[in-house]
Amino acid sequence: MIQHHPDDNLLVEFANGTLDTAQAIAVNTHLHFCTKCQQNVQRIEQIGGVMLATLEPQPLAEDSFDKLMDSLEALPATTAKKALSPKPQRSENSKEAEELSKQYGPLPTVVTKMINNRSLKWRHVNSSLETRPLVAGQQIHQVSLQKINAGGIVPEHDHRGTEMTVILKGSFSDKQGIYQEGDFVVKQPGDIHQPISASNIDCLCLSVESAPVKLTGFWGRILNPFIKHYAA
Amino acid sequence: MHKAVELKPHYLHNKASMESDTSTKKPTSFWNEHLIKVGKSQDRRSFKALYEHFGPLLKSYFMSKFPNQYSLQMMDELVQETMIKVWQKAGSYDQSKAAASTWVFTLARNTRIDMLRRQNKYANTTSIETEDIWEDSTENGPYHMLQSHRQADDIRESLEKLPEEQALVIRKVYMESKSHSEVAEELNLPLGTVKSRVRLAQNKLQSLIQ
Repeated sequence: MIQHHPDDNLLVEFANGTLDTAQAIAVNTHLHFCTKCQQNVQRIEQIGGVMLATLEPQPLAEDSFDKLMDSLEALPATTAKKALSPKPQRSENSKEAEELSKQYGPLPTVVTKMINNRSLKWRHVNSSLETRPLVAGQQIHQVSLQKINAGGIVPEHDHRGTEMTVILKGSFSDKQGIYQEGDFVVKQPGDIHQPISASNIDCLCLSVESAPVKLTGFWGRILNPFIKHYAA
Repeated sequence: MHKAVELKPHYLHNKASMESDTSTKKPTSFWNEHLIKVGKSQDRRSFKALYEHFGPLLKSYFMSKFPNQYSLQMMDELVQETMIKVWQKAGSYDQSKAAASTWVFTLARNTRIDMLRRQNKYANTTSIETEDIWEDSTENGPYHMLQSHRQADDIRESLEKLPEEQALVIRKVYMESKSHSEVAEELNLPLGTVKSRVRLAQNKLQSLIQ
């Protein structure tokens, strides 16, 4: 049962297309698991549709419809087929994506595409945490997969910016709560935590950070320089 | 370049014109049916009706996002791009999941995102498409949200009744497609104030939708 959701403000920005790409990917990934938020997004879109009809109509060029029909006719004949068939078949997935979905179950399309996009190595942050960068077609956020081994403890850390995490498989807990598959967790600067993975299963997460996390405590002094290096 | 047009949503300023506007009096199902005809048989007459209704509204939507940066011709092109999507995707439209206006709104939103992504060199480094992140309204989820004409009326009425300060913020967020921080900056308000106005308005509006 999903307990942690994006707040209304975030969903409104998402549904109006004003959230930046990486954060929108985090919300989309949560929607993959959460029917309640899918419904809320639909409600927001419905309000958008009603508001669209209340705008002051702006005249279009007189011949614009004919021009539109001309350009539709000029399109390849696939139009009719495309209109009647469902989504085109997805391209083949990379070996890495196949293996991950075998191990963790089907992943959201957008996550799979980011894995397909470029094969990048997993790096150990410490003995229980591994991370793999993802290319999301933007430059504002760091997007990555994070894996905490079953029973693993992530060093206590603070956050330099907003971090959104969506749990894809398994669960972890910290002092604030327990986060399970599909949960959407937001941490802000000052939210210091020490995530601990459930003992029986690896925890796989999608993470979107506006700035790299900052480790605190003993591990921080040792690992921060590495994280900085990795972020660059 | 075109001059910034003062866009007056009817619910803010002009109740009378809304009442006399016959297009908003058409039942929700009227546009749904036209859309279904386009999807099933590429019906041109239905497509033209949709174009004549939604085209000028879409132009207004794009103009309110980009009041000064782009030419009017560019706005027309965005309308054309959206209507091409309507034509191509009408076959996957499902009226049990979304009203035509909801569906068209999501296509317009995605057209705007596409345009911004085309200008962003980083967006070209992935195979992620806009629809992978922002799905068309009726592809998402198994919900049956039968949207009655009554419900659309209720939302419209509720928009009219919003306190001016909430209505303004909501319009900027939805129709001018501005992020909360952009709205805060423009109106010279703390971000938290914008967020709480959006939430208050949203609670009222969403409570009307089952």
